[in-house]
Amino acid sequence: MIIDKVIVNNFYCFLDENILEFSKGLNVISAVNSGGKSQLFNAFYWTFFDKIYADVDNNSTRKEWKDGSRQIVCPDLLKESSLENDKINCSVEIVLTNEFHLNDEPKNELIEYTFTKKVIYQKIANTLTIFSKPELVISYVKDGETEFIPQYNQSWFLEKIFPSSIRKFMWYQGETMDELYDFSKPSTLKNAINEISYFPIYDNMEKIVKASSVSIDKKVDKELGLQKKLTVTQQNLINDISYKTKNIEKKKESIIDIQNDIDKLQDDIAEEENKLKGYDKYRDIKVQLNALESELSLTKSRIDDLSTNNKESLINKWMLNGCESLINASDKNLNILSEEIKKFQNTTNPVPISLPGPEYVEKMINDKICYICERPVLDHTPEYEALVKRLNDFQDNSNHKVLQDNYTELNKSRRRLLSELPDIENDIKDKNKAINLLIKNRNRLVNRIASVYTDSGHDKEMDITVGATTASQILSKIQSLRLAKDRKSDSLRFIKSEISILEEGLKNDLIEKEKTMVSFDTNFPESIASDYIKMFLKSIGQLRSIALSNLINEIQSESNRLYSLYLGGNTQGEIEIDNGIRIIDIGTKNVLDNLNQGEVVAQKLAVANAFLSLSEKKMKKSYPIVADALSSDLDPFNTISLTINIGNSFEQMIIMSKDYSKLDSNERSKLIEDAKIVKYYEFKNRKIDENGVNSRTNKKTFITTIK
Amino acid sequence: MKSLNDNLREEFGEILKTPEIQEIISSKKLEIEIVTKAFEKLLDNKYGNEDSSFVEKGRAEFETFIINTIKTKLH
Repeated sequence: MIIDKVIVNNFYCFLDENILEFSKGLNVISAVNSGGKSQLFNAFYWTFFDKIYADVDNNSTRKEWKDGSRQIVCPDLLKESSLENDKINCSVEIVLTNEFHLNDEPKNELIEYTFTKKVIYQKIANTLTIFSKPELVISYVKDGETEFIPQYNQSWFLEKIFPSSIRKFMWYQGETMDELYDFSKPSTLKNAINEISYFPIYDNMEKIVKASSVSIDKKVDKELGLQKKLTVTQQNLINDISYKTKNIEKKKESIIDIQNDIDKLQDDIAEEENKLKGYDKYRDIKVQLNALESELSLTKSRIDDLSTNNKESLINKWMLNGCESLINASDKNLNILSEEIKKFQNTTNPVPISLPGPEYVEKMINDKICYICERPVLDHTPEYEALVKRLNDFQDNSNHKVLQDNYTELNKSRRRLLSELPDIENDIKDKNKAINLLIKNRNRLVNRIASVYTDSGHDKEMDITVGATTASQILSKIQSLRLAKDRKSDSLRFIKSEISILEEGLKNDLIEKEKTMVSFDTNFPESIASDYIKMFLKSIGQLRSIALSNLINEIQSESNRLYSLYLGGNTQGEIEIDNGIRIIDIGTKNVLDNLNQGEVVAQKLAVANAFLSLSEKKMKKSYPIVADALSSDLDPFNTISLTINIGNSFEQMIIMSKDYSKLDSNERSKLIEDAKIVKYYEFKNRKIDENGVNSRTNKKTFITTIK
Repeated sequence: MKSLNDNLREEFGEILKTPEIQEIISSKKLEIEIVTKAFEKLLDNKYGNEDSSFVEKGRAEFETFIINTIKTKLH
């Protein structure tokens, strides 16, 4: 297959119509970053597979494959400059030459196919909306007539010309190199091998020969029966052989089904494990966070308890502290009181208890009469003065009593407070110490939780919770898949043991048949035909298994040849293909790990390219390789080595890289000559108006044809 | 340029040369001409289909060819 031409019209950085012509051989597109390489790659992918490799969202620089029909591919300049209700046409047209797709096998009947994908946008309320959704039209000219591949057949057609099992080998980007292949899944290798080799054909041949073997056996037995020479025992033996043969056949078929189921389950497990790679970290993080957060919550509640408790003590302490100076100062006042009390006690005129009380004395003063002797008591007389003095004595006595009580109470309080103060102070000190320790622990926990978030790259708990839940779901799915696989493996072992018993019995029956039926005339056509068919049964089975090991050897040898070429002979080891693909040490045959990215890229490219190269050799099917930034992880020397050597392996290759932009014109000419480059384009993303603003709305990709 | 069928014929030819198959061929006195022509019938039906109807068609062509060729030779 050859990609002849690409016409990109108003697609991201490609403004207006841009025509790129390609030829058989090595085609190079040189551009620095943002030059337009990836958008050209997207133009291919959008047209054929309706996918665009774009930013995950506006807030992220991470990219992923997105649904092409939902992406706005229109250049920024047109988005900005168009007026309300304006319609903008964006399209990509790809012309390629391929074997006529309805041919079962290559007949060198080459047809030019045109893939046209067009979308129309309309500006409404200052936003571009899809006026006419992206639609792919595939046409070709055959026998002078233009034919179209109907919409409902387009997926089938694209699968036929770009088989999905090896599609990634033809279209790859440096950024997605890790996803290039994963042969840890049994079916990935099997599907890729089926696509580039005869294995499906051998399967079909084997089915035909097996059906013939069963059919011819029946005919032979019937013929022998017609000869009427069989005894009952011989007839039973033949029936037995026929039964066992059929049974073995049936069980072998069920083995294939079970094996396929196991492979499928293994694929599903690998797929789930692969999914888990993105999520298992959340589970660990969630467990870690849960432990830390529960410890933090416990610490906080202990701090709260101690603080509340301490507050009460603090109130007491504050009160006591506030009173401490007063308590100490109260000594002086208490002494005054004490002196006062003593002085009063020493008075010579205590109030006699037998005399009338103060209320009675006061009444006598007020009534100006003595109720004891019933004589008048006039003002300022000695009697009057005596009554007033008595009333004062009562007052003094009462004051003295209050003073005495206060003094006693104050003295008691003073002693109690003075004894409690040191205990409260110690208690507060202890509690403060404990609180400080807890606060330190709380801060440490908060920091640890913050660092768990920082390390995880997320700042929202919800992200981690959702991730952890997904991880748990995946794990439970893996567990149930493993259980199902174990059950299938058990039943596989059981059937195999049944087959081996049946085969042993069949072997004995066949020996018995040879012995007892030696005198029979087997020189009839069906019996002779049976010998031929048995030989085919054996040889086609062997052909299949030998061809597989030969093919693996061929892939390995081709991969190593390319691997060495891409690294200019400076490889650290060699590629080994055996239940997976790895690089091993040439001497010790041990697996080499921790290889540099350049080695890994060269290995992946070599294996992928070996598959395509063998497809061309074995199945006469060639595919173009379109590679964006495939050499970004290689040293400049290796990029040149790779460029010079890679083109020879394929009918057509289109490499897009920034590495060539570093070459001066002489180096570039030499590279074009050495690598036999057939087409060389240079992309530059520059300002449209040199004096205008430095904005994407004033920029486009300019294409220069160097060769 | 070798065709796909040429590659398949070549690989089948290699298998026929192995001692195990050679032993069957010589002990059962199988004719290479019949073997190679019968293989052509397998090549004619090498592309399968989803409903497996190709197996019956292929079996009929392959088996009938061998039986008829042998019948002709025996007469």
